[in-house]
Amino acid sequence: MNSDRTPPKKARFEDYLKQVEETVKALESGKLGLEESLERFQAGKIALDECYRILQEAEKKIQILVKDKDGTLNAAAYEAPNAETRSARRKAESL
Amino acid sequence: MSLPAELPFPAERRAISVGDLTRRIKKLLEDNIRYVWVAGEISNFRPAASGHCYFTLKDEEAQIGCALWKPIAARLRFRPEDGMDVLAWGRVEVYAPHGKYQLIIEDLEPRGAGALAIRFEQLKAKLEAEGLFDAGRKRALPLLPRAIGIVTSPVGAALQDMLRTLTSRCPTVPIYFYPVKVQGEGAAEEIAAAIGHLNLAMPDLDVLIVGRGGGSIEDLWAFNEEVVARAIHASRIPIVSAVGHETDFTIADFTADIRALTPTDAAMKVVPKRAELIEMLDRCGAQLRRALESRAELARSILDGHRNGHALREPQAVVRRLAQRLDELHERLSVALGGAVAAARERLAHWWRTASNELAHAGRATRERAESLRRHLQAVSPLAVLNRGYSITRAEDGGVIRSTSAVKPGQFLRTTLADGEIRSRVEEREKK
Repeated sequence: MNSDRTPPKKARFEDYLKQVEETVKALESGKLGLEESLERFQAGKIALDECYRILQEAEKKIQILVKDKDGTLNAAAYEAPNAETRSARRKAESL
Repeated sequence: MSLPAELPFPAERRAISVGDLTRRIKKLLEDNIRYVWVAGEISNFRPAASGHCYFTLKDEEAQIGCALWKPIAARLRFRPEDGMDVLAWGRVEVYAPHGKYQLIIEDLEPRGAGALAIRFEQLKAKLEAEGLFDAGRKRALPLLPRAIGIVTSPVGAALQDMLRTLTSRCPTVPIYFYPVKVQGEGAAEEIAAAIGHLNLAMPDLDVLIVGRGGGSIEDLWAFNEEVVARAIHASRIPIVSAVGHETDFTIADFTADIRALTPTDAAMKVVPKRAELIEMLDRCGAQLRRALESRAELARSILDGHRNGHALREPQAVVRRLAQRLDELHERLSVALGGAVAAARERLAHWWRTASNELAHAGRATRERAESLRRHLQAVSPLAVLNRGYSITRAEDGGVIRSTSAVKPGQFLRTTLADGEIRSRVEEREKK
């Protein structure tokens, strides 16, 4: 039951962030050799850059999901109704 | 006692059977009273082993026996109890073997102001007993979702509130809006179907907001239906419920992983502010650099100590050991290396001189070097460290040798220096 409820595993922002934090912890422990410290630092830096990359992606358009006849979902750009059409609708509803 | 003379006895006493009479009564009743709504109070409610239920419907004036067959009983959205005011939809039937008439119930619903409250409390108790609300089932939301799903009505302020809040906090997260009916006939089924559909069709969604803006208890009712609770419970995607206002509690709220107070609050819960995340990353980066820097400082202080004969930061014994090990290595290489690697030895000697010079120089300029180290940390590589005087010795399988006990006499070693490699063989080992 519980395994059905676990979201699929794919590296996400927090997975990369965790790598960075673990690297800091390992380096601060002082238990690593110099060579290993450098390797870990470089891996940590790559994970950190990945975090920045995720946050600096282009802004996303909002998608509206439309179900077609055979039930598959299609995404289309969503246009928010502007204030005028909304108040017009409200007026129409109150009539 | 004699009978009064005027009593209208028929001249001939032609009797009919009880069965015939009952048949006539039955026809009379059942033909004339087809389906009716009857208002009354339940008493003497008795579920039978067969799954059928029997009870009496009564008011101040009269009572009637009722039969509630199993399939109808299973379909009811509440559990009938003694003392409940109900509306019953059914037909009158005469049960000939007992000479009784009864109401055959086709539908039953609670009546009056408490009706919805009864359904709510009963469903809540049932689902709670099944474990749908267990705290252990609640999942935490990701720090930053890969994509967000929204299940709500295309009209109304709730959607616009959510979109505005989400995009102002972090516009880089994709949002997928699944429009549904949120009130009236069929709304609960639409909401439940949308949750199920998104779970199947959209594997990248890390969170789903399910909700609507404020309204009366009847308006919000779809979120109190069992079918919605079941869909939330089955969802692989964590669900944030956002139904009505802060004071509205629905069954969907109890079942969801997280209950938001309002749609706007839900949007705030699913994404952090991008600027705050970037600040946090900046702090992490600084921490990372500081951690490496202090590790490098430690290494350099050991080398400085060796060169100057003073332990700057480390106990002197550690420094002496290191110095001795380096000298020894140098000596052994000289002895062990044959003519074929004479050039390598030359390179080592050259390196040793350069390193010594560098160190002598560095000793005078410790502060400057610390500054320069800080500036160049991002570009630092194992090669740069070798330039500062370290070498790395590996076994043939590539494993780094950190201890004398890791090698055996006769074993081949590869030593990496700044400008190349030396291959050597272990003569003997001495442990300190």
